[in-house]
Amino acid sequence: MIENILKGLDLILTPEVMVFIVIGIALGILVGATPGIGPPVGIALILPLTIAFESWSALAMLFALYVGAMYGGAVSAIIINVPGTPGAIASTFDGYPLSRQGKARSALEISVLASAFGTVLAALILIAIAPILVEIILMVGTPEYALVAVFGLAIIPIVSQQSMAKSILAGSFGVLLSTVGMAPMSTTPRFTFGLLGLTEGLTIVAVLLGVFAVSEMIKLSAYEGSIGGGDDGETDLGESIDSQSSLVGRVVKIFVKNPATFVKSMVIGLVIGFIPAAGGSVSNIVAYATEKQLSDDPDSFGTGNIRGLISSESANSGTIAGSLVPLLAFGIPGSATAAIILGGMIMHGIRPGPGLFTDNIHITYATYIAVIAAGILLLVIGLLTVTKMSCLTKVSMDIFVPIVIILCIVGSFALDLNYLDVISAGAFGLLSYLMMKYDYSLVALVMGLILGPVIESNGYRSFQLGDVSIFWESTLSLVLLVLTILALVGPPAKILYTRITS
Amino acid sequence: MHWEEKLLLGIICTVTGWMVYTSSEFSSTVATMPRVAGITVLALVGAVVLQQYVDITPADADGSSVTDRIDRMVDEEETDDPFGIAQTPRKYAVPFTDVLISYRYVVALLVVLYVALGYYIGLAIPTLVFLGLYIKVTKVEPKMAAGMFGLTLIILYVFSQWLETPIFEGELGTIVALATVIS
Repeated sequence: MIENILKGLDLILTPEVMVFIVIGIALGILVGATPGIGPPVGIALILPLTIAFESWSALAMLFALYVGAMYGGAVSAIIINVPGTPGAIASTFDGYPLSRQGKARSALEISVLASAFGTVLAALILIAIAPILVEIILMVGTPEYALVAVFGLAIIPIVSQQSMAKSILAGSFGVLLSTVGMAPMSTTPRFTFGLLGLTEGLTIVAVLLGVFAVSEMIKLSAYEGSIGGGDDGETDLGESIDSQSSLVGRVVKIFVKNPATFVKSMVIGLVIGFIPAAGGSVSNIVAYATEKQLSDDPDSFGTGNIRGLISSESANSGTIAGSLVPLLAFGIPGSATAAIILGGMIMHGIRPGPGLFTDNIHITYATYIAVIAAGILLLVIGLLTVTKMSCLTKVSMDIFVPIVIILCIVGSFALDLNYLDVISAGAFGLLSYLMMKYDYSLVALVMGLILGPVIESNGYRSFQLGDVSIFWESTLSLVLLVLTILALVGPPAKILYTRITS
Repeated sequence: MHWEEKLLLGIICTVTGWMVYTSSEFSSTVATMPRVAGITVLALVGAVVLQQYVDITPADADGSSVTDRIDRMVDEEETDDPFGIAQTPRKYAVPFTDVLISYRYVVALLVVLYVALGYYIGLAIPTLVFLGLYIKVTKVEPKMAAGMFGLTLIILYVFSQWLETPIFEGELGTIVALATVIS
């Protein structure tokens, strides 16, 4: 274990990678703090530009961008009451009231601390329990692998709280589109129109650019100025709650007074991160609700209770490390952002799978070390730039929209110099805009595209190993099968039950 | 059901129907996955359409289901936006008519134009055309527009020089060759 950790450290602790981590954090804070952009769009935009970088520099920058964006989401939540990312929704509940009381600066300091703490501790925990995770991951054989992927798709409607039929429809459509290209275990090209550019299937990064970035820009094009409104210039962030103490002193005091809130919320975020498609958007709400429920003074939540803000920020940042576990072990993203990072990993030659927890576990350690380094640097950069944050919330959509669309279109072409990728980005952008508008889950569409080949190839291999009973022979596969059926049947059965009883 | 959602489901059904139909050309091993996924998609499209007309959930009964809420919000887009952003979406006045349409349609059309032009003549010129048209329809201030053009030129420079992306080359050949043919 130590040897592999050292190998991981060797990959990350280089001046070049550190510089890229700093750039990633700065870009992450920028995209997170700009309402409407968020981590998926930000990372999708940066991906094509990383082609020229050395693999670990590029990947470390993407992880840092993820970390920076999670904190950035809280900036606009606190200053203008608009969450920059879905993971910062609960941060508005107490962050904005603090801001209204003239304590925006303190709220931002608390957010930086909670984000950095959640990021670093969650990643450290995962490094510590990696040997246990390896044992669990090794239990996953071919049929279980296929079932994990099916379960990942089945659970999306529950965690995304969107229409069940529409989410499964989107997921199934994604699976269908994933069959474009060479069929696994054969040399038969499917639905390629004889075009060589489609033999390898749809380029996932180009599709992601369309699904998350182009569609979002079409949506935002209807708005004038910044999403948060307000005039130009910096907002007065007020003084810190404890302005006599030094910055370090204030940060230490915040932690010493609320250690349980930090740890509890980080653990909630970490665990929710394991669930495919859940991500920070679910964890921040769950952690906030838990903190409020367990509090001696629940009425103070929503009026500027710093524990509410800590719980939201610590949880959404804890989710980062958690969402990387299913991503690295099975290639199943734990969030929309993790799906884009998966595209980046594949682009840079790292193909996730159980091998990343066995023979190549140093890559997994390197990933978590990069996340830890990003968390530590976020604390430094975040605290030093707290007073400059308000200007990030005032970026005009008139500037952002065309520039992002141009980056998407040119970037999608740069990936593989294939015009089909440009068409993919444009077509998926338009389709995804309509899907987003009418509540069809975009995460489900992307998960379907990513998990389709996993389900097909592992399903095919499973049938070569035995008959259909192979899917319930082992305890793990039986559990996965039952969970999948429950995820699919449970919600409609509940509705039917409610209808009958009412 | 709003016409946009009908269009979306129409696209999904057409693509799916074609893929399921074409899969009959493949061996059963290769055709199974697209068939299963395709039939699931078509069945769920049916379920979604049915859900619009048949009261199948308790929430539907009082008009508070997700579908009901979205339909209402889309109808009331003038004052309320389905995306939950506290700003009234602006409208574009189509030249020479009294018609007001959402800027989203205009930008969607510009994206289609951008991709189509880029396919034929390479991405460099269409990028500038797209930006120019965007600036025109959104009436961006001249100072800001100049900055946007500057930024776009930097982006094009980075992609063409640093990442060696052939942005001057489309399906019809390079811009230089095209210019020669035209002249």
